[in-house]
Amino acid sequence: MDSYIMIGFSVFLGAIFVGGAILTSKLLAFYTPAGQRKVQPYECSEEPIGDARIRFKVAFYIFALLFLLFDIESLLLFPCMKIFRAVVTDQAGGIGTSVLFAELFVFIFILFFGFIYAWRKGVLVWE
Amino acid sequence: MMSDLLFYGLVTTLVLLSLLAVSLPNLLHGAIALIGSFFATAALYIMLQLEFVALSQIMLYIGGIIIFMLIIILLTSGLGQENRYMVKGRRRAAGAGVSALLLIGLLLTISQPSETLQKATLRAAPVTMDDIGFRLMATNKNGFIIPFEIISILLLVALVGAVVIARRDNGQEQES
Repeated sequence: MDSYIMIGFSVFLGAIFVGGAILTSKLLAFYTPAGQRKVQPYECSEEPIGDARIRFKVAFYIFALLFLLFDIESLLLFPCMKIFRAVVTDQAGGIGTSVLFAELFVFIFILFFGFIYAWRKGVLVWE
Repeated sequence: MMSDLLFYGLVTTLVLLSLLAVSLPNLLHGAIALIGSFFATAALYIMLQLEFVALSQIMLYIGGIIIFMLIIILLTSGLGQENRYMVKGRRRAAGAGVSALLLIGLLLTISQPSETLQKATLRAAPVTMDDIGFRLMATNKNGFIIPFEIISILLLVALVGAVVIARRDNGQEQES
């Protein structure tokens, strides 16, 4: 629990740091009434065209789908990596290094096959 | 005492952010409020010492599901501000009634001293990430190595299905 309190404290400190920086610059900076030109997001004498919010291509959707699947894979690899030290130092009660290696190899290989499939199908090609 | 204070603070944040997520007029702001509420949920899991669930909450929900939601929101036009649908008074009352019934049911269930619940609470020890790792990798009677490998096949099936369904042939894609 102690380490969690430390994490919480550092998150709190980070929030204060960022918020303080924004607030200080608000207080100290010169305020001039903003004209149209002042509030432009890209202030380099380039006239922005159109809206900043554009509609996405549907291609992003498949990318997100693939990302989610490999996200689950990496999440499941976390606990297996956590016990790695115990396995290597032979304190894992029956799980040997070669066993762990074989299990993880099968797991990753099956998903690697899926990755190859997606590649061959041209999902990862950017058009 | 300290953890009680933390718990109530987290719960208040969670409820407030969830309310914001469903009530903000701008869909994008609602999604950002949802990210905050997911973070509060992850913090609650950490308070219960469930590291793995907290990690999956952050990685899957904040990293994955929210990206999906943002993409869906950005695929639509106008962020839903123009054609906002106002819920009529009668429907609002019906929703409030159902929620109130649910709340009463939950409170009744929790307030009754249940022996099974108490036993289960006493038996439930915090599960560390190491425990999960050992059980997942073990090949003996208590191990879950077969389900672990089946998960990867399940993910593969989901991947192939996603590619097949979401991606049409090039000729059709040009037309739409």
